[in-house]
Amino acid sequence: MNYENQTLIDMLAAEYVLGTLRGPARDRFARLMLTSTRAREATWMWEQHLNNLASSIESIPPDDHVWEKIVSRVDPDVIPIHSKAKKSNSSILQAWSLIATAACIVLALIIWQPHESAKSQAQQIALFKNQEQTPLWFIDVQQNNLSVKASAALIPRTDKDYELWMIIKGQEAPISLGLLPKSGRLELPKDARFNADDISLLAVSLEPLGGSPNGSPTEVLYTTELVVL
Amino acid sequence: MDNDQLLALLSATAKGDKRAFADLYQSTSAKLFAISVKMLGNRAQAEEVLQDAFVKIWHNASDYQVSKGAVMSWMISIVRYRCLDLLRHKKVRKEQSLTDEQEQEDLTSIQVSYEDDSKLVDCIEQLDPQQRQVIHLAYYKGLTHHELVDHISSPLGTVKSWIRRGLQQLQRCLTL
Repeated sequence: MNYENQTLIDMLAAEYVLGTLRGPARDRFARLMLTSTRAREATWMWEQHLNNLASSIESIPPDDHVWEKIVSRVDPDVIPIHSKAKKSNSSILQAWSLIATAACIVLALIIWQPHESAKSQAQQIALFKNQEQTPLWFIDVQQNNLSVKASAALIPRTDKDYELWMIIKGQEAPISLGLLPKSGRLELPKDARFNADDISLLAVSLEPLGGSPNGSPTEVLYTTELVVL
Repeated sequence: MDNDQLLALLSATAKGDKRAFADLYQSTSAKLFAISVKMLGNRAQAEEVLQDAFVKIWHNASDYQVSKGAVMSWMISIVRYRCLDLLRHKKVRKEQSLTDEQEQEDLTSIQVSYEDDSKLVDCIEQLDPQQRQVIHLAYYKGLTHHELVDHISSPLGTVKSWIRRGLQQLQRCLTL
Protein backbone atom coordinates (compact mmCIF):
# COMPACT_ATOMS: atom_id res chain seq x y z
CA MET A 1 0.00 0.00 0.00
CA ASN A 2 1.31 3.43 -0.87
CA TYR A 3 1.46 5.32 2.40
CA GLU A 4 2.94 8.39 0.68
CA ASN A 5 -0.46 9.18 -0.79
CA GLN A 6 -2.01 11.88 1.38
CA THR A 7 -5.56 11.18 0.22
CA LEU A 8 -5.13 7.54 1.12
CA ILE A 9 -3.66 8.46 4.51
CA ASP A 10 -6.59 10.81 5.16
CA MET A 11 -9.12 8.07 4.38
CA LEU A 12 -7.30 5.44 6.42
CA ALA A 13 -7.10 7.89 9.31
CA ALA A 14 -10.81 8.68 8.99
CA GLU A 15 -11.77 5.00 9.02
CA TYR A 16 -9.34 4.33 11.86
CA VAL A 17 -11.06 6.97 13.97
CA LEU A 18 -14.55 5.97 12.84
CA GLY A 19 -13.71 2.38 13.71
CA THR A 20 -14.43 0.71 10.38
CA LEU A 21 -10.72 0.09 9.78
CA ARG A 22 -10.36 -3.29 11.47
CA GLY A 23 -8.16 -6.32 11.78
CA PRO A 24 -4.64 -6.34 10.32
CA ALA A 25 -5.33 -3.12 8.38
CA ARG A 26 -6.01 -1.33 11.67
CA ASP A 27 -2.79 -2.71 13.16
CA ARG A 28 -0.82 -1.64 10.08
CA PHE A 29 -2.18 1.87 10.31
CA ALA A 30 -1.45 2.02 14.06
CA ARG A 31 2.15 1.04 13.27
CA LEU A 32 2.33 3.67 10.54
CA MET A 33 1.29 6.31 13.05
CA LEU A 34 4.39 5.51 15.12
CA THR A 35 6.64 6.55 12.26
CA SER A 36 4.63 8.93 10.12
CA THR A 37 3.87 12.45 11.27
CA ARG A 38 1.38 12.79 8.41
CA ALA A 39 -0.56 9.76 9.56
CA ARG A 40 -0.57 10.98 13.16
CA GLU A 41 -1.72 14.45 12.21
CA ALA A 42 -4.43 13.14 9.90
CA THR A 43 -5.67 10.93 12.75
CA TRP A 44 -5.71 13.79 15.26
CA MET A 45 -7.60 15.94 12.77
CA TRP A 46 -10.27 13.27 12.27
CA GLU A 47 -10.52 12.64 16.00
CA GLN A 48 -11.06 16.34 16.53
CA HIS A 49 -13.82 16.40 13.89
CA LEU A 50 -15.61 13.11 14.42
CA ASN A 51 -15.61 13.28 18.20
CA ASN A 52 -18.02 16.20 17.90
CA LEU A 53 -20.54 13.48 17.09
CA ALA A 54 -20.38 12.45 20.74
CA SER A 55 -22.09 15.69 21.71
CA SER A 56 -25.40 14.06 20.86
CA ILE A 57 -24.91 11.33 23.46
CA GLU A 58 -26.65 12.03 26.74
CA SER A 59 -24.37 11.70 29.76
CA ILE A 60 -24.75 8.72 32.11
CA PRO A 61 -23.03 9.13 35.49
CA PRO A 62 -21.09 5.96 36.32
CA ASP A 63 -21.46 4.30 39.74
CA ASP A 64 -19.09 5.41 42.51
CA HIS A 65 -17.30 2.08 42.62
CA VAL A 66 -15.78 2.80 39.18
CA TRP A 67 -13.84 5.73 40.58
CA GLU A 68 -12.77 3.70 43.60
CA LYS A 69 -11.37 1.02 41.32
CA ILE A 70 -9.53 3.61 39.23
CA VAL A 71 -7.94 5.09 42.35
CA SER A 72 -6.85 1.68 43.55
CA ARG A 73 -5.34 0.93 40.15
CA VAL A 74 -3.46 4.16 39.53
CA ASP A 75 -1.70 4.32 42.84
CA PRO A 76 -2.12 1.41 45.20
CA ASP A 77 0.96 2.50 47.13
CA VAL A 78 -0.05 6.00 48.00
CA ILE A 79 -0.08 6.68 51.70
CA PRO A 80 -1.33 10.19 52.45
CA ILE A 81 1.43 12.08 54.18
CA HIS A 82 -0.73 12.95 57.19
CA SER A 83 -2.04 9.45 57.71
CA LYS A 84 0.73 8.59 60.11
CA ALA A 85 -0.36 11.40 62.40
CA LYS A 86 -3.74 9.77 62.92
CA LYS A 87 -3.54 6.82 65.26
CA SER A 88 -5.40 3.91 63.89
CA ASN A 89 -7.43 1.64 66.11
CA SER A 90 -5.77 -1.48 64.87
CA SER A 91 -2.83 -1.30 67.23
CA ILE A 92 -2.15 -5.02 66.88
CA LEU A 93 -1.73 -4.60 63.15
CA GLN A 94 0.55 -1.64 63.76
CA ALA A 95 2.62 -3.67 66.16
CA TRP A 96 2.96 -6.42 63.61
CA SER A 97 3.85 -3.87 60.99
CA LEU A 98 6.62 -2.47 63.22
CA ILE A 99 7.98 -5.94 63.85
CA ALA A 100 7.89 -6.64 60.12
CA THR A 101 9.67 -3.37 59.42
CA ALA A 102 12.36 -4.11 61.97
CA ALA A 103 12.81 -7.59 60.51
CA CYS A 104 13.11 -6.12 57.03
CA ILE A 105 15.69 -3.62 58.17
CA VAL A 106 17.78 -6.28 59.87
CA LEU A 107 17.50 -8.39 56.75
CA ALA A 108 18.44 -5.44 54.58
CA LEU A 109 21.44 -4.76 56.79
CA ILE A 110 22.59 -8.32 56.33
CA ILE A 111 22.02 -8.24 52.58
CA TRP A 112 23.36 -4.82 51.77
CA GLN A 113 26.14 -4.55 54.32
CA PRO A 114 26.30 -0.76 54.28
CA HIS A 115 29.70 0.88 54.42
CA GLU A 116 31.12 2.25 57.60
CA SER A 117 28.55 0.53 59.70
CA ALA A 118 31.17 -0.34 62.26
CA LYS A 119 32.39 3.21 62.57
CA SER A 120 29.21 4.92 63.66
CA GLN A 121 28.30 4.40 67.23
CA ALA A 122 24.54 4.81 66.87
CA GLN A 123 23.60 3.84 63.40
CA GLN A 124 20.67 5.55 61.71
CA ILE A 125 18.94 3.76 58.90
CA ALA A 126 15.68 3.80 57.02
CA LEU A 127 14.00 1.44 54.62
CA PHE A 128 11.26 2.32 52.17
CA LYS A 129 8.95 -0.48 51.15
CA ASN A 130 5.94 -0.62 48.89
CA GLN A 131 2.58 -1.99 49.92
CA GLU A 132 3.63 -5.52 49.11
CA GLN A 133 6.43 -5.01 51.64
CA THR A 134 9.08 -5.17 48.92
CA PRO A 135 12.09 -3.07 49.95
CA LEU A 136 12.70 -0.22 47.46
CA TRP A 137 15.39 2.03 48.97
CA PHE A 138 17.71 1.52 51.87
CA ILE A 139 19.19 4.61 53.50
CA ASP A 140 22.23 4.58 55.73
CA VAL A 141 22.89 7.89 57.47
CA GLN A 142 26.58 8.73 57.65
CA GLN A 143 28.64 11.57 59.06
CA ASN A 144 28.25 13.94 56.14
CA ASN A 145 25.91 12.25 53.75
CA LEU A 146 23.09 9.81 53.26
CA SER A 147 24.12 6.67 51.48
CA VAL A 148 21.12 5.47 49.50
CA LYS A 149 20.84 2.18 47.70
CA ALA A 150 18.05 1.33 45.31
CA SER A 151 16.81 -2.21 45.53
CA ALA A 152 16.93 -4.42 42.46
CA ALA A 153 13.20 -4.89 43.01
CA LEU A 154 12.57 -1.22 42.21
CA ILE A 155 10.98 -0.76 38.81
CA PRO A 156 11.48 2.96 38.30
CA ARG A 157 9.44 5.17 35.99
CA THR A 158 11.64 6.66 33.32
CA ASP A 159 9.48 9.77 32.95
CA LYS A 160 9.58 10.67 36.64
CA ASP A 161 12.03 11.17 39.46
CA TYR A 162 11.77 10.09 43.08
CA GLU A 163 12.58 12.66 45.74
CA LEU A 164 13.46 12.09 49.37
CA TRP A 165 12.01 14.34 52.09
CA MET A 166 12.23 14.67 55.84
CA ILE A 167 9.46 15.94 58.04
CA ILE A 168 10.71 17.68 61.15
CA LYS A 169 8.62 17.38 64.30
CA GLY A 170 6.30 20.33 64.75
CA GLN A 171 7.05 21.61 61.28
CA GLU A 172 4.50 21.42 58.46
CA ALA A 173 6.68 21.76 55.38
CA PRO A 174 8.78 18.75 54.37
CA ILE A 175 12.42 19.44 53.57
CA SER A 176 13.90 17.99 50.40
CA LEU A 177 16.94 15.79 50.83
CA GLY A 178 17.53 15.21 47.12
CA LEU A 179 16.63 12.85 44.31
CA LEU A 180 16.83 9.14 44.95
CA PRO A 181 18.79 6.78 42.69
CA LYS A 182 16.72 4.65 40.31
CA SER A 183 19.36 1.96 40.54
CA GLY A 184 22.58 1.38 42.39
CA ARG A 185 23.98 3.50 45.19
CA LEU A 186 24.07 7.28 45.58
CA GLU A 187 25.49 9.57 48.25
CA LEU A 188 23.21 12.49 49.05
CA PRO A 189 24.61 15.45 50.97
CA LYS A 190 23.29 15.53 54.52
CA ASP A 191 21.11 18.54 55.20
CA ALA A 192 22.35 20.65 58.11
CA ARG A 193 18.95 20.25 59.78
CA PHE A 194 19.11 16.46 59.58
CA ASN A 195 18.95 15.28 63.18
CA ALA A 196 17.47 11.94 64.18
CA ASP A 197 15.83 13.39 67.26
CA ASP A 198 13.92 15.98 65.24
CA ILE A 199 12.79 13.85 62.33
CA SER A 200 9.28 12.49 62.61
CA LEU A 201 9.10 10.89 59.18
CA LEU A 202 10.93 10.36 55.92
CA ALA A 203 8.99 10.36 52.68
CA VAL A 204 9.47 9.58 49.00
CA SER A 205 7.56 11.54 46.41
CA LEU A 206 6.97 11.09 42.71
CA GLU A 207 8.14 14.16 40.82
CA PRO A 208 8.62 15.42 37.28
CA LEU A 209 12.16 14.80 36.01
CA GLY A 210 14.53 17.08 37.88
CA GLY A 211 12.54 17.08 41.09
CA SER A 212 9.75 19.00 42.70
CA PRO A 213 8.91 22.12 40.70
CA ASN A 214 7.76 24.10 43.74
CA GLY A 215 9.76 22.91 46.70
CA SER A 216 6.98 20.70 48.06
CA PRO A 217 6.36 17.03 47.39
CA THR A 218 4.07 16.60 44.37
CA GLU A 219 2.76 13.18 45.29
CA VAL A 220 3.90 11.25 48.33
CA LEU A 221 4.36 7.58 47.50
CA TYR A 222 5.94 6.11 50.62
CA THR A 223 6.77 7.11 54.14
CA THR A 224 8.95 5.50 56.76
CA GLU A 225 10.58 6.28 60.06
CA LEU A 226 14.25 6.81 60.72
CA VAL A 227 15.50 3.99 62.88
CA VAL A 228 18.33 4.52 65.36
CA LEU A 229 20.10 1.29 66.26
CA MET B 1 -16.41 22.70 31.45
CA ASP B 2 -14.47 24.36 28.64
CA ASN B 3 -11.25 23.18 27.07
CA ASP B 4 -9.03 25.60 29.01
CA GLN B 5 -10.33 24.26 32.30
CA LEU B 6 -9.91 20.65 31.20
CA LEU B 7 -6.42 21.49 29.96
CA ALA B 8 -5.50 22.91 33.37
CA LEU B 9 -6.78 19.76 35.07
CA LEU B 10 -4.96 17.49 32.63
CA SER B 11 -1.68 19.41 33.05
CA ALA B 12 -1.96 19.14 36.82
CA THR B 13 -2.77 15.45 36.44
CA ALA B 14 0.40 15.03 34.38
CA LYS B 15 2.31 16.35 37.41
CA GLY B 16 0.71 13.75 39.64
CA ASP B 17 -1.97 15.98 41.18
CA LYS B 18 -4.61 13.52 42.36
CA ARG B 19 -7.15 16.21 43.19
CA ALA B 20 -6.97 17.51 39.62
CA PHE B 21 -7.34 13.96 38.34
CA ALA B 22 -10.44 13.52 40.48
CA ASP B 23 -11.87 16.79 39.14
CA LEU B 24 -11.09 15.71 35.60
CA TYR B 25 -12.98 12.47 36.24
CA GLN B 26 -15.86 14.35 37.81
CA SER B 27 -16.15 16.63 34.78
CA THR B 28 -15.86 14.07 32.02
CA SER B 29 -16.74 10.58 33.24
CA ALA B 30 -20.52 10.78 32.65
CA LYS B 31 -20.05 11.67 28.99
CA LEU B 32 -17.28 9.14 28.46
CA PHE B 33 -19.28 6.44 30.22
CA ALA B 34 -22.31 7.17 28.02
CA ILE B 35 -20.15 6.83 24.90
CA SER B 36 -18.88 3.51 26.13
CA VAL B 37 -22.36 2.22 27.12
CA LYS B 38 -23.76 3.19 23.74
CA MET B 39 -20.96 1.49 21.88
CA LEU B 40 -20.77 -1.73 23.90
CA GLY B 41 -24.41 -2.07 24.97
CA ASN B 42 -23.14 -3.58 28.21
CA ARG B 43 -22.91 -1.52 31.37
CA ALA B 44 -20.41 -3.73 33.21
CA GLN B 45 -18.01 -3.73 30.30
CA ALA B 46 -18.54 -0.03 29.77
CA GLU B 47 -17.41 0.44 33.38
CA GLU B 48 -14.28 -1.58 32.69
CA VAL B 49 -13.53 0.54 29.65
CA LEU B 50 -13.96 3.69 31.71
CA GLN B 51 -11.56 2.33 34.32
CA ASP B 52 -8.97 1.35 31.72
CA ALA B 53 -9.34 4.72 30.02
CA PHE B 54 -8.78 6.72 33.20
CA VAL B 55 -5.84 4.59 34.26
CA LYS B 56 -4.38 5.33 30.82
CA ILE B 57 -5.20 9.03 31.15
CA TRP B 58 -3.43 9.12 34.53
CA HIS B 59 -0.27 7.54 33.13
CA ASN B 60 -0.33 9.29 29.74
CA ALA B 61 -1.49 12.76 30.76
CA SER B 62 1.98 14.12 30.01
CA ASP B 63 1.79 12.75 26.44
CA TYR B 64 -1.11 15.01 25.61
CA GLN B 65 -0.24 17.99 23.44
CA VAL B 66 -2.48 20.72 22.07
CA SER B 67 -1.88 19.57 18.50
CA LYS B 68 -3.76 16.37 19.35
CA GLY B 69 -6.96 18.38 19.58
CA ALA B 70 -9.23 19.39 22.43
CA VAL B 71 -8.73 17.54 25.71
CA MET B 72 -12.22 16.05 25.60
CA SER B 73 -11.69 14.78 22.07
CA TRP B 74 -8.40 13.17 23.13
CA MET B 75 -10.16 11.46 26.04
CA ILE B 76 -13.10 10.35 23.89
CA SER B 77 -10.64 8.70 21.50
CA ILE B 78 -9.01 6.78 24.35
CA VAL B 79 -12.43 5.46 25.36
CA ARG B 80 -13.61 4.65 21.84
CA TYR B 81 -10.40 2.83 20.85
CA ARG B 82 -10.63 0.73 23.99
CA CYS B 83 -14.24 -0.12 23.10
CA LEU B 84 -13.20 -1.01 19.56
CA ASP B 85 -10.50 -3.32 20.97
CA LEU B 86 -13.11 -5.15 23.02
CA LEU B 87 -15.56 -5.37 20.14
CA ARG B 88 -12.82 -6.62 17.86
CA HIS B 89 -11.96 -9.46 20.16
CA LYS B 90 -15.62 -10.28 20.59
CA LYS B 91 -15.37 -9.95 24.32
CA VAL B 92 -18.57 -7.99 24.52
CA ARG B 93 -21.93 -9.54 25.19
CA LYS B 94 -24.70 -7.10 24.58
CA GLU B 95 -27.20 -7.12 27.39
CA GLN B 96 -30.69 -8.18 26.48
CA SER B 97 -32.28 -5.02 27.85
CA LEU B 98 -30.21 -2.96 25.49
CA THR B 99 -30.74 -5.08 22.44
CA ASP B 100 -34.51 -5.03 22.31
CA GLU B 101 -36.70 -2.46 20.61
CA GLN B 102 -34.53 0.50 21.44
CA GLU B 103 -31.60 -1.16 19.71
CA GLN B 104 -33.64 -2.07 16.66
CA GLU B 105 -34.85 1.46 16.30
CA ASP B 106 -31.36 2.83 16.80
CA LEU B 107 -29.86 0.56 14.22
CA THR B 108 -32.32 1.09 11.44
CA SER B 109 -32.48 4.87 11.54
CA ILE B 110 -30.26 6.22 14.24
CA GLN B 111 -31.74 9.36 15.74
CA VAL B 112 -29.15 11.96 16.54
CA SER B 113 -29.63 15.40 17.99
CA TYR B 114 -26.38 17.26 18.42
CA GLU B 115 -25.71 19.58 21.30
CA ASP B 116 -22.97 21.52 19.63
CA ASP B 117 -22.94 23.64 16.51
CA SER B 118 -19.54 22.63 15.19
CA LYS B 119 -18.83 22.67 11.52
CA LEU B 120 -18.83 18.87 11.56
CA VAL B 121 -22.50 18.86 12.47
CA ASP B 122 -23.28 21.18 9.55
CA CYS B 123 -21.27 18.99 7.24
CA ILE B 124 -22.87 15.76 8.49
CA GLU B 125 -26.30 17.22 7.82
CA GLN B 126 -25.30 17.76 4.20
CA LEU B 127 -24.49 14.08 3.57
CA ASP B 128 -26.82 11.70 1.78
CA PRO B 129 -29.04 9.94 4.32
CA GLN B 130 -27.39 6.55 3.68
CA GLN B 131 -23.91 7.98 4.07
CA ARG B 132 -24.93 9.69 7.27
CA GLN B 133 -26.55 6.53 8.60
CA VAL B 134 -23.55 4.26 8.09
CA ILE B 135 -21.19 6.85 9.59
CA HIS B 136 -23.47 7.23 12.60
CA LEU B 137 -23.76 3.47 13.10
CA ALA B 138 -20.01 3.01 12.83
CA TYR B 139 -19.22 5.91 15.14
CA TYR B 140 -21.80 5.28 17.87
CA LYS B 141 -22.09 1.50 17.73
CA GLY B 142 -18.66 0.53 16.50
CA LEU B 143 -20.15 -1.59 13.70
CA THR B 144 -17.79 -3.14 11.18
CA HIS B 145 -18.37 -3.15 7.44
CA HIS B 146 -19.86 -6.63 7.67
CA GLU B 147 -22.11 -5.76 10.59
CA LEU B 148 -23.34 -2.76 8.64
CA VAL B 149 -24.16 -5.04 5.72
CA ASP B 150 -26.33 -7.17 8.03
CA HIS B 151 -28.01 -4.26 9.74
CA ILE B 152 -29.00 -2.23 6.74
CA SER B 153 -29.32 -5.09 4.25
CA SER B 154 -27.09 -3.59 1.60
CA PRO B 155 -24.16 -5.21 -0.22
CA LEU B 156 -20.64 -4.84 1.17
CA GLY B 157 -19.43 -2.78 -1.79
CA THR B 158 -22.26 -0.31 -1.33
CA VAL B 159 -21.65 0.04 2.40
CA LYS B 160 -17.93 0.61 1.88
CA SER B 161 -18.61 3.16 -0.80
CA TRP B 162 -21.15 5.06 1.34
CA ILE B 163 -18.59 5.30 4.12
CA ARG B 164 -15.71 6.30 1.88
CA ARG B 165 -17.71 8.87 -0.06
CA GLY B 166 -19.34 10.19 3.07
CA LEU B 167 -15.95 10.70 4.70
CA GLN B 168 -14.51 12.31 1.56
CA GLN B 169 -17.43 14.68 1.36
CA LEU B 170 -17.05 15.47 5.04
CA GLN B 171 -13.40 16.30 4.52
CA ARG B 172 -14.18 18.60 1.60
CA CYS B 173 -16.89 20.31 3.59
CA LEU B 174 -14.68 20.65 6.68
CA THR B 175 -11.75 22.19 4.83
CA LEU B 176 -13.87 24.76 2.96
